[in-house]
Amino acid sequence: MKKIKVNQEICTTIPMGSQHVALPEPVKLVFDTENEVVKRVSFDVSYVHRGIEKSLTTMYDFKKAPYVVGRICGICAIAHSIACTVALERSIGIDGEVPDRVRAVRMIGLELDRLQSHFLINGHLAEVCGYENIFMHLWRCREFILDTADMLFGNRVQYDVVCVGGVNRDIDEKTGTRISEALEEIEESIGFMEEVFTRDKTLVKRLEGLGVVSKDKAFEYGLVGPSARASGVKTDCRIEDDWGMYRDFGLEIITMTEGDALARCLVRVLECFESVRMIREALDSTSPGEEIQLRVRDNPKKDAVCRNEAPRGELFYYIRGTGKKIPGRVKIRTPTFANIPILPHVMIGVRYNDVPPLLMSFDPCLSCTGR
Amino acid sequence: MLKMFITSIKNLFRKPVTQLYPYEKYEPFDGYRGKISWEKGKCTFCMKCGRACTSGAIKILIYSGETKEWVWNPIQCIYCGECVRSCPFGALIQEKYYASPITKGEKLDWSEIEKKAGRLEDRWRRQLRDRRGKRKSE
Repeated sequence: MKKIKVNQEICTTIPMGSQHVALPEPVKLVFDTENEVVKRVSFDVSYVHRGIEKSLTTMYDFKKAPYVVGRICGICAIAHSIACTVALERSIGIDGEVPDRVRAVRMIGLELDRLQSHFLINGHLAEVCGYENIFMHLWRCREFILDTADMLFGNRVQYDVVCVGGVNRDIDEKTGTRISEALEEIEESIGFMEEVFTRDKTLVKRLEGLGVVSKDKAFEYGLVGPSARASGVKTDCRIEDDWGMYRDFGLEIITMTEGDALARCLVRVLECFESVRMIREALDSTSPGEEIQLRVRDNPKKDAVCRNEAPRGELFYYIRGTGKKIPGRVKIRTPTFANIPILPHVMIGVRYNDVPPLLMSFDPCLSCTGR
Repeated sequence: MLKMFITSIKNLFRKPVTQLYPYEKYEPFDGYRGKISWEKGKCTFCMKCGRACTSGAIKILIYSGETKEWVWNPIQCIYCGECVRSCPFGALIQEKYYASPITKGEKLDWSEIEKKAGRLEDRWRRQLRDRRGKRKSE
């Protein structure tokens, strides 16, 4: 710790990261504090750069791209795969021909991913608040979701189920019924999570009124995902750029008006109910045994864009097709990239011990941002 | 707060949901992404699996004459199963059980194999080009 002068006040500089107990991934934050109150924050996020965008335009042909981009993030892998695949399909010009069964299986994968991600971050937030019991219990509940994913796709988090023109594996009837049973158990644990985050005095007092983002500010800084929805911005890419059947199933966009850390958590909890409903609808809408893979003969030739709703918010993919097997340019814009610029403004005036829960309430995923 | 207190007490006496893996036997679900096994009799060395492999973990060594070899790198493999789906003869199977990538005493010199495969592929490509050139000139 060293002391420096900021605006003629003596401040203490506290570095947090690049490795820290509260952080699941490497990020460096430097706080200038005066009597524990944060006065200035600076950021460094790109500790995990792996050059995936470049490798997609040099090493891998487009059929391998969904597997490669799945490695960008361990938690929202399938969101990346789907966004990339849909963009490629639009570039080739086969996005209208994709069968309903494929859309349903992709939806099930994405919603399962959203469920486990929301359980993970809410549990982690509770741990950062100092409430170890909730952390343990929520991660215990998350284990059922991971088992369900294992049963469906053969992997716990890295599903690898999406490929250009379809999906790799179908869900048979026996697994379908087992999933319906598992969903009931999952729904019960979501109910528990809702009760804890609305009634538990310790958590509510800690998180209420922390890091308030107004609706105008959320617009101004371009927040995405649950963070934007907690401030009252009605945005959801599943509805806006619908690659699946979300509009047909009547997905409800959950918004809150408070805009504080608790609201961001609650939006995530309520979204879980909606995800479970979407999985049920998708399972019932189509039956196994339909065609699950289209034959892809062409190469990507047009410019194409896909916006997909990852657990953390809008995920944007741009692909420039050149008529060759390897695309000319791949651009990825991740949700955390949009959610980070507001953090220094929200953190000013907050006590230092409230910084980790505030940071976690925005659900940062830094491997995505660094990639 | 009371609810969480009761749940915590209950959790003290519940069984853990996770497994003590090396000591307890893990029973995988159907369709688990396990080891990839190769059947020599069915394989025609068409190289479709090698081309479909995302991580470049499959190499086929074609020596002069009839000796051919299928090599798989279990460490580099991401177990996506793309090779199994691409095989038209059913020579590759993704097994249900997990096998350790490398057993004790086994040594896989992958860089050497890649170099060899690259050299052989280059030679094979050169031969193809020459043949095409001959046909065109004819």
